[in-house]
Amino acid sequence: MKNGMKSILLACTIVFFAGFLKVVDVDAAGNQVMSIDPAGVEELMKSDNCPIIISIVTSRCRACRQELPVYQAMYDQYKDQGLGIFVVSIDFGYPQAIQQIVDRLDLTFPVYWGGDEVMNAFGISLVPYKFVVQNGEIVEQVVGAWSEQEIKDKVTGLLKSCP
Amino acid sequence: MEKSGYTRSYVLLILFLILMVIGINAGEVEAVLEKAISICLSCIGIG
Amino acid sequence: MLDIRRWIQILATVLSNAWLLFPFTKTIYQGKLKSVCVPGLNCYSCPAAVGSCPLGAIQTFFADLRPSFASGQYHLGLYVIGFLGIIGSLVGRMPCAWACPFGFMQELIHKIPSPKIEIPRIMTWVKYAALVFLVILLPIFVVDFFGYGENWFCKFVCPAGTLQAGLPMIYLQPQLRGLLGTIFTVKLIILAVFLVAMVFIRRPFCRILCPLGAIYSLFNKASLFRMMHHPDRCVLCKQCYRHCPMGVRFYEGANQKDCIRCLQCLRTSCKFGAISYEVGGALPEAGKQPVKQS
Repeated sequence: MKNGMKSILLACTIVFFAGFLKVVDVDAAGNQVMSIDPAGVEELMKSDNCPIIISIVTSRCRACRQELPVYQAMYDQYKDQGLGIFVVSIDFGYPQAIQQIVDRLDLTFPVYWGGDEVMNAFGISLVPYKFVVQNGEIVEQVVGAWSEQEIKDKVTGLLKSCP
Repeated sequence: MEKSGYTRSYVLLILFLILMVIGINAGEVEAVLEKAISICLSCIGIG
Repeated sequence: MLDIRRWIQILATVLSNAWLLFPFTKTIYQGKLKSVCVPGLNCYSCPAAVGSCPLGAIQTFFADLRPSFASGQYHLGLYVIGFLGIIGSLVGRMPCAWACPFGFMQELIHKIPSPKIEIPRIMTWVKYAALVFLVILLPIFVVDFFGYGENWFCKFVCPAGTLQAGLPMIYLQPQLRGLLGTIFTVKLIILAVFLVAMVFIRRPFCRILCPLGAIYSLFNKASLFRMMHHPDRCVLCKQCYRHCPMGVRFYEGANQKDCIRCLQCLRTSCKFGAISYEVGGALPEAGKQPVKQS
């Protein structure tokens, strides 16, 4: 069918050119995403901060991205009281995608890229996925996103039970 | 019975075969795998 | 004795969903097989799925175009487009009848005794709108601050996803129950409407809404496998229409967009040898139905 062929070709062409429309700028000067392996994530859990929230994300997950600015606000407000926030991207293959997001949001807390190695090591299949750590122990594992209010309540609640 | 009309089938077949090979070479196989095993909850209508 | 097509449908359903350890792992299969798409509509977020849904995969490629390009990954989804095109140019819409678990389920549910009704033909065009907008244009062009689109069909519509992934995951992971919102409610309603419609209407999802079927259907008239109608033998008894799982009026012409090549009409309905098929111009033995005396 000629029409069928035409519409398929048209779709391919549209897709091809759409890719060039808006290419996100990468700002190399800001917060650099660091690579991390599963052992590194374990280390994060043992760091001196209390409480610690480790959020496992992928770049393409909207719910994950929406949490990031709230984390930034929490980090700015409570980092001096010991709050540690770490975001670990499990995008496959390359850290550029999460780097773009970090640059766009001007995030200043540490963001890591762990790839599928971290995903497999921690058996994560659904994102966002969060570990809440207090005094070196995982106290909560959360599947799914938190709302802004939930994050605030969580952080303030946790801070009270930290030394 | 007319026998013609199958050239376009072969042309389409080869065209899409080429597209698929290009896709595979661009690393899209791993991209499919990634999206299929780290499920983003907001992408399936939950959360 | 079950029909050969039923066996193949059962086999395809089981093969597409062969990860039977999910009640123990409580989550999805994460092996390498998922880098390959299955031909039918089978959600890859289903805990049992061992392959990827081509429709889901293509939407994520479209939705991620800009960030992928910005990361130096020139992914256009050609792997999946090529895959669908190869199947399409070989057999057209045949996977719908033989390899799609969701289509299989619709046929089974339709067996529930009830008055059967027919849908207006215009409704069968809705799936092309779903393909163009929900699968292609909206994922590509409606992007957020970061340049990411959404997989609109998966996220807002797909009843196969709700049935295969949404509901089982919520059962397996109680934590997810707190996250359910309006979108999920809407998807549940869509699923419920189609489940009820399946009893009364032949394959309502395939005919009205399935974008994957819409893609394959574009190839029906151009595929190597083609149905043949012989008007000289056709007596317009309409038995083919009566038995067709898709409600196609075969007597109006072969290779219509909703013909899924299940061969039901050829094997059980037509007593006059007016229906056959050919592959690449060659007429196989099975296609040569002798004229039966009626």
